[in-house]
Amino acid sequence: MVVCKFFQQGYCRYGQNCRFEHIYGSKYSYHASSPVQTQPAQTANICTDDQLVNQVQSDILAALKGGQWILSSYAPFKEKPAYPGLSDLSPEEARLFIYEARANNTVDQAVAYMDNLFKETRYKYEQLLQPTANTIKILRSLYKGEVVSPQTAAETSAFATTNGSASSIFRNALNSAPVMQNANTSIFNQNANPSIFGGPAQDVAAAKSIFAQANQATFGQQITSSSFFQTNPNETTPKSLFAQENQKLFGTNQTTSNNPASIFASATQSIFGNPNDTFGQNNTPFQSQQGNIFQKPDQPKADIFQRAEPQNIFGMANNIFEQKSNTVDDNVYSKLEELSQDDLEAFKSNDFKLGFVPEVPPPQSLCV
Amino acid sequence: MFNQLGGGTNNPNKDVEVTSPPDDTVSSLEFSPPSVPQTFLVAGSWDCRVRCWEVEASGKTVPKAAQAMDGPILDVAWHDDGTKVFMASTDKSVKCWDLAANQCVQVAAHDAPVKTCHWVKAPNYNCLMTASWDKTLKFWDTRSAVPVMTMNLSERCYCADVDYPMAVVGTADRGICLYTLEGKPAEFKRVESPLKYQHRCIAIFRDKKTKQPTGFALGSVEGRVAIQYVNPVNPKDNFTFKCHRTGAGTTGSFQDIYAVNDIAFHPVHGTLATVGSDGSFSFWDKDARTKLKSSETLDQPLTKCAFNHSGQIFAYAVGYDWSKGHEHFNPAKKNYIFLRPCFDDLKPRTT
Repeated sequence: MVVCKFFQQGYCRYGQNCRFEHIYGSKYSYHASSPVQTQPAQTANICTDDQLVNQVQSDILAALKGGQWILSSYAPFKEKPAYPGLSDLSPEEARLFIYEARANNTVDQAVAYMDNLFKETRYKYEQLLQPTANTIKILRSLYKGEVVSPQTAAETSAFATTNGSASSIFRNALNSAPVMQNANTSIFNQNANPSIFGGPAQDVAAAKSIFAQANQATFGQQITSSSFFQTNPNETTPKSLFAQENQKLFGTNQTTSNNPASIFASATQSIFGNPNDTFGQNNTPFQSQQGNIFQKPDQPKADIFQRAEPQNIFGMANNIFEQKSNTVDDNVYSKLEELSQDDLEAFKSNDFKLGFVPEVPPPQSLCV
Repeated sequence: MFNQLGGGTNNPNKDVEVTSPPDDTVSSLEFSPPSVPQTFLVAGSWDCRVRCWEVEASGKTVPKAAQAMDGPILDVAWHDDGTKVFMASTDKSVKCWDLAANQCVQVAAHDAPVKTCHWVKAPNYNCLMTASWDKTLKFWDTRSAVPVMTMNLSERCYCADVDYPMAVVGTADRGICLYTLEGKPAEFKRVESPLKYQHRCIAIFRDKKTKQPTGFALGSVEGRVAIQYVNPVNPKDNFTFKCHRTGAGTTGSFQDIYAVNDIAFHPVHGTLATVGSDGSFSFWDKDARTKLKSSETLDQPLTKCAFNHSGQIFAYAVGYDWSKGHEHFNPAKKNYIFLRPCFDDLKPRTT
């Protein structure tokens, strides 16, 4: 007679009616964690496998039939770990992904990607409706409060096609869409050209390094956390709205900054400036740009609200960064000869293909 | 029939429409703090703008100013003095908008879109708390370009709330972490999620007697809200309830399940409001565990809600929330923000 492998694992659903042999103390030891070793697994556990399975089935059916957002993690039991291989992607992340794709003219790829992700996730959910022995094993572990890694689940289960990696791929895709991140800091605006070659790697790296330099240059000595929380920063008692306190608010406690007072002191105007100035000849205060909901941020917008382009700390320090940017450039761009043929072609083409976006920065010669 | 003459499907609750609404979905909505004599409403939206209106006593709204960022706005927060507004964007930065000067200064940066920002006012310090999809929580002195403190989150931040001395962050993959802000920010404890699906919104509530923050309400995509105490006196104090579901009909049929998009507590009564993808809002008394009111259903999801500081006005935003994916996005559809007097509707159930 064939030995029942589920019984050995402690999860056989059929108990005494099982077609296979239930053997204790063979060379396959009996693994059930129940305190009553001599009892079949079903009765030893407080909650039977059937109960676990039914619980999951009703959850999943309700979710699928109810049309809820399915790019979600799922925990079969309250305050217990989530089922492995299902991870969260919020509507906002999905939305941004499409918006960024629109700015890059890769909407079709992005939509296809999302459709695929939905399909894949739906499939994973549907798999839970027909639990295998392994599914039950995972559920049992979760019920006990054990975290099951997607890898463990993947080893034995057919369920784990692309477990978990889906969302991480997505995140890569999200990161590699340059889009509006071009102007991470206002410093960056100067050399932010509308070219799509503002590749992510370069972009982020450059933005960061410049930002870091900005810290030192602009703020000189940095305020450490300890001193920050101990100091009693000038309490500004709430006065009437828009009281002209800018200098006080920002000026104090700055040790060696580059003349911050002048930055903020300039033009503290009356509430929202002159109303005529802002809303003046226009009847609809918020100019709508319907039709083109998603304008490219780099392009100057002919919008009344854009007029007073804020001058901020980072903007004021232009010349510092302009000087620096020359020295930075060498590191930021790839050298032509270092690029692979594929990457070079990708940079030269008019748009990137999803999945074939170079991971190296573009050469300077292609960025002008 | 008669009702529809008044409001139509766009405004079945016959509330006051805010003029010049955003061109894309509202992602964040906040009333000015009590330090300001007038009432201002600020909304951030997916069209990369943040707009500010003055709300007059009559309910009339006057657009005051707007600012743009380089990516869609994900959150806004008022400075406690009411002179500045913080705006968190997918462009990975947070800017401080000085309303008087109508100028913006970058005050925070992350490695990924910034999902939330909150102003923290403690007796011994003030700072800006930002949380991002880069899995970090950062605290900023707005005068410095480096954070005064950075903490790691278990996952991407999906929602957060601050009510000194408590802060709470809800993350992807069902993470919840509590922070204490006393003295300086510190992780207090991680909490196992009482919900089975993706976290979406979170709001801190106060104890009725002590008026101190004592727990939080957490909403998920599964049309469910959990009421969770930090230190429950009785384990049964914590509970979850279903909301924003339709078609509860006969046995064997399935309900349509919608996401809970936002939760707000009434500043005076301590009761709460929820808004959902189903296009309705509901008022609840968590202590009596009853629903106080549910609204008529609009033809678009409600994405955000807010009470003004005195609890007289309830604002809610109407627009597509992406809950049915990109193919259901219709950019031509108008977005709305509605205001309604709410003080009486949110009075707790008398026992």
